[in-house]
Amino acid sequence: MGENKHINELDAFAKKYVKEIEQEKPSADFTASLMKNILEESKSKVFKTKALISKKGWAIISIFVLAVILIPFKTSEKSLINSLEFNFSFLDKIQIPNFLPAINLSNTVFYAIFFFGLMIVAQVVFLKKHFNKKFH
Amino acid sequence: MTNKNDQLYITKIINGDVNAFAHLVDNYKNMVFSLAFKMTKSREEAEEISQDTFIKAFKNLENFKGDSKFSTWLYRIAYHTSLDAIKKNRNNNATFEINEITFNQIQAVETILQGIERKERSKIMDVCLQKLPDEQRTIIWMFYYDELSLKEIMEVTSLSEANLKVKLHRARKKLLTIVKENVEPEIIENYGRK
Repeated sequence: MGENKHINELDAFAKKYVKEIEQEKPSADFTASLMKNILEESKSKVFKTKALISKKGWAIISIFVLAVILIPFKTSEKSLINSLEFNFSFLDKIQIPNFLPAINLSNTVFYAIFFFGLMIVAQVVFLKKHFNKKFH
Repeated sequence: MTNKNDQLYITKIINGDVNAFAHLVDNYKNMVFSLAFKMTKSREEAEEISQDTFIKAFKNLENFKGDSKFSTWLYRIAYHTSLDAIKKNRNNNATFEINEITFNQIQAVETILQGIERKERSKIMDVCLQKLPDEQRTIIWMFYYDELSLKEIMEVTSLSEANLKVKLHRARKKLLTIVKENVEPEIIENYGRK
């Protein structure tokens, strides 16, 4: 009992007087100089980028591709690709003048190049936004 | 367990908003610096340790799971960074004997302390705390100044509960001995007046 009382008295003593000690403060420019280092640090971190398509994303894509391939074998009906009928007839209405008459491209090659270019333009906008977000 | 504001900033930083880290620095820089200063007794070293602590925290922020408070997690980093610095520049602590104190001396010391102006008393306590060995000084600071619970100190220092309690008790006794020695001239003077 007596020993416990002494412990409590000591505890109360320390609690009261240690708390009165003034807290030390770092230099005034501490945050500014630290953030300078942190920003440099983060630049090197930015380039350790994650893959755009995560493992989960790849798993979903794989399941979808496998489903498209395997479902036609399991059922007598048409495959998923065949059951979706796209009407590309609007493409015939686009009249593009032939600048290089000597080169003959089939329509398929032409459409492929056209869509490829379209995807690149779309990606430029997307990637610009993506990197801007990382740097700021 | 983590404070909602802290968690908000942490999410922002992980999503690429590096500047949000400045809020966490401003909130915790005094806590980190004080601990480093109390452990190393050097302003320059404490400043360097505090910088290292925050850089380490920033690099490992993605590993912070939020099971404990962010402040405890940061405290742990600051504690271990300070320990490493102490190991590097081992400064010898003068070891001295604890004279067994009789507990009515607590009251005598307290009476003297009460008679001293608060600002002066705070300085005396600071000087006395600096005279404690590194580990005891750190434990006293964590428990009484930063008010960490025993569980949190165990988490920070990796000490067992029994070991921590023993160390805390010894640290308290030693602190009182040091304070008594510092204010002793005034105690004698006081007795003389009676």
